Amino acid sequence: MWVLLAVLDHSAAMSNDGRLADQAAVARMARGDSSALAELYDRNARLVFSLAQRILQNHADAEDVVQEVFAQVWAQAGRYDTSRGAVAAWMLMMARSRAIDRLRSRMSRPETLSEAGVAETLPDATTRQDLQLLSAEQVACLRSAMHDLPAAQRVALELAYYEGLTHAEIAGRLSEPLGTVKTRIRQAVIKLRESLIR
Amino acid sequence: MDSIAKDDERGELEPPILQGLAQAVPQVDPSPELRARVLKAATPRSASSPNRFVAWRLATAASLALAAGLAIYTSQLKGRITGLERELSDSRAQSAASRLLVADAQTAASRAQSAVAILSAPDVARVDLAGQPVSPNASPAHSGAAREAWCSARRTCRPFPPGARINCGSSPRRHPSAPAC
Repeated sequence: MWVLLAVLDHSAAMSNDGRLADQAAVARMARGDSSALAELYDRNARLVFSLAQRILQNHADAEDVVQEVFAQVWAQAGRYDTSRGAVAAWMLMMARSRAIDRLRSRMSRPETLSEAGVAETLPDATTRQDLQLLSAEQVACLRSAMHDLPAAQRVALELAYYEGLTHAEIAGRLSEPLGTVKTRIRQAVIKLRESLIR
Repeated sequence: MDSIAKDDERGELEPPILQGLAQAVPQVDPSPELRARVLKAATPRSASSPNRFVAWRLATAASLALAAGLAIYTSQLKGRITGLERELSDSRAQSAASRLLVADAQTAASRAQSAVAILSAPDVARVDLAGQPVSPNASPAHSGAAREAWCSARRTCRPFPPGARINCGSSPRRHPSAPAC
């Protein structure tokens, strides 16, 4: 038990260190230091690529998304306010938007989740609470809770988050009533929240 | 996040869950080649911040020097313009005075020319007036009666008969023997 707590503390400390290192790297990138980009990539590429891969289910497309995300971070480093949140969370937000856009264009769906404009990808001050990374243990709890969800709830939640579908689209995809889909997603979210509180 | 948040679901989705869903996916390593692609795509910036700062300071200093130079030059130009305006005013005054002198001279010349034209006329005749003693009761207006007169008889005039008395209304000059009024 003590060993587990020590590991969790170490993980949290490492997470905080990584966040500060990411912010320092972005500051250096703003000054044109390309080695900082390499450091940022080494710390976060796996996380960003995994999310893109999960959404797109395609290795090449996921790599393209990763490349676009890091190019965008490089281009916008000078305008990023580190007080707005974790850099990794910002990159995950960009990766999800770009991956879902790509997924929709692949499925010939005209609407996009995010605009292509560069400035609009910068996190707003109002969304700073969205840009906090979870600790490793919180992610583990969430992953476990996701695994424990009933299949119908998990599928509805995954379609909403990883494919960017609206509730109505999910209902159409699953051939379920809209109210049922909403209820499933709501129940899934409640369970995930409880897993984090615990 | 956005699609989940639609249909009034946002109130139930706090950020940690949304962020956790991004982090909870199975972790997969990208290919090693991707790192090189990413780093290659990040082109070095043309100028670093310190250099840009120095350039900015140089540009500011140059602008200030240029502004100071322009201010001095403008001041000098203003002084020169003031001097030129003063000279122009003086010249105009001199020109006006000269025009008045010329006009006076022309008037005098015209009068002189008229007098010369009368005196040098070909039909001018000298008439010596005998004159008569001044009446003791004469008023000062008659005391200046000329003893001689130059009259232009022109060709239409008849010659004065000898010993004729002619009273002239005016005399070009008072006779020296006439008493002063």
